[in-house]
Amino acid sequence: MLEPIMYEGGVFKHNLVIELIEDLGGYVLQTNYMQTEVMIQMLCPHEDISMLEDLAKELRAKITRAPLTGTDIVVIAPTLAYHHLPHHACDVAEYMRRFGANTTLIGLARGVGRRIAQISAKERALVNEHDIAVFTLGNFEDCLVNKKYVLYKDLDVPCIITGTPELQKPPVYAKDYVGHLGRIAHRLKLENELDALDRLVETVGKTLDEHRIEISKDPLTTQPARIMKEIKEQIPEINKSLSPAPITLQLMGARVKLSYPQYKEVIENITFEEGVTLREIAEVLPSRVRDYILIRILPKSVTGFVI
Amino acid sequence: MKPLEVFRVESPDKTGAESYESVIRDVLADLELTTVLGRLWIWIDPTEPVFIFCALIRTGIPPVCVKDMADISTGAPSAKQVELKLTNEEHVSTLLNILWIEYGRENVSQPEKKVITIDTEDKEEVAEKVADVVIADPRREIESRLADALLRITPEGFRVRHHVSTGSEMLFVASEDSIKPEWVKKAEYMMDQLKEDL
Repeated sequence: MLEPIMYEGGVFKHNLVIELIEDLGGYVLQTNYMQTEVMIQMLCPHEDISMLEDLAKELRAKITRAPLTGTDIVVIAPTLAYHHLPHHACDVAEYMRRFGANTTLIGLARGVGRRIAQISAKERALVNEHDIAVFTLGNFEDCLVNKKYVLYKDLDVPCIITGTPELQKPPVYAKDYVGHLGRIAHRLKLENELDALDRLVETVGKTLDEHRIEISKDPLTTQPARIMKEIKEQIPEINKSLSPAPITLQLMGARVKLSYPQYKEVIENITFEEGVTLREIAEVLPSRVRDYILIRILPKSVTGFVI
Repeated sequence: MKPLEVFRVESPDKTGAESYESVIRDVLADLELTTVLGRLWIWIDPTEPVFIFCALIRTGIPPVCVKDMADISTGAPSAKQVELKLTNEEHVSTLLNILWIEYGRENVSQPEKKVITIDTEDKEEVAEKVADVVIADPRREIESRLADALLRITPEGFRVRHHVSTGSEMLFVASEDSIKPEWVKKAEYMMDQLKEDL
């Protein structure tokens, strides 16, 4: 089993870490350089973590388990107006990034109000592309419980709601609820606000773990991280992408930031050393995000094998 | 009236009201309005749904005239010009723009940093007239900031609005449905209560 790990340390000799991970059969997902510091997100085989820890100790670096690594989370605000942004919707999105998640922030076109709140089919399709949706809602219990469920009742992905009141149980159709995180017009930095953010990360992590267990009952034909590695090796154009995460990993596939009409064939023809091509083990679909490519890996029950 | 001597945010949902109070404080602080408002009473009932905002504005900031920012003199009897010696440089660019429009660019000059002269044949009349020209009106700017604050505070979906605003008070009712007369009556009652003991 691969453990999601985050490495934070100096740039000096950090390539040793990357080499070690590759030798152990793990994957480097993302490397961010910040002047003389480097942050590496990776998947490391569980039984070899002690080797990584020893190396990190030698290099005076910090290693933490990042449960949200390799996941694609969408944070949804009712609109993109200053009522919700930059605080608290952006703060929520930013906080989850610290735990390794790739977060996207979207504002709905008509998500505001009570009777008038709605989500369009296009927005629903976009949200369904992600692993999990976090709705950042407001202050009043009546709105949260009785009205706002129309935004997420038809979504296929699990939805976690945030709001001000403490609710005994999550609102109907929601997977979970995190309180004390409603409409806030200042940067989230007070103790109780940071506690609420920690609870949100914990709740999201728990929901993702449940989803991982579901997936493991009918395992995917290959790991999303392996597809990422093969794309990086076989399609050099991906390295020219200016995006910080040209390939966004998801629990069941990946979003590749290349043009769908141009690169669909190339992606489908990626060959693995076992002799299979990507088109045999995954669906390559157009993403709703610009003209990007969405890869959905087929489970073992469909392909009949695991590589 | 002291700044925010009355500050009430009420709702049947107590937790919601407390949280809303923090939002309002943040917005007022961001827009530097805490010293502008004297009394504030907000009522929110999400089940109706209605949002009522009543505020008394602290008056007392007069408009800035030319005589407040410059000493006006007619200079030597032979000189055909009015001389403004600036005492406050905050609004000089606005002042120059106004003078250019009124007397023409060729007649207005600034020989020194703190001196502006206006060439004219009838200097006594011009000196008298220019003294009372309004250069800046901080109250108008406050009104626009107040309108901005209201839009930020009001729940975003409440787009049907009713407002009555005079120089010293502001009454605002918002909802996502048509405004009911009883809401306006309640707002007027709240405003009357606010104005008591003034």
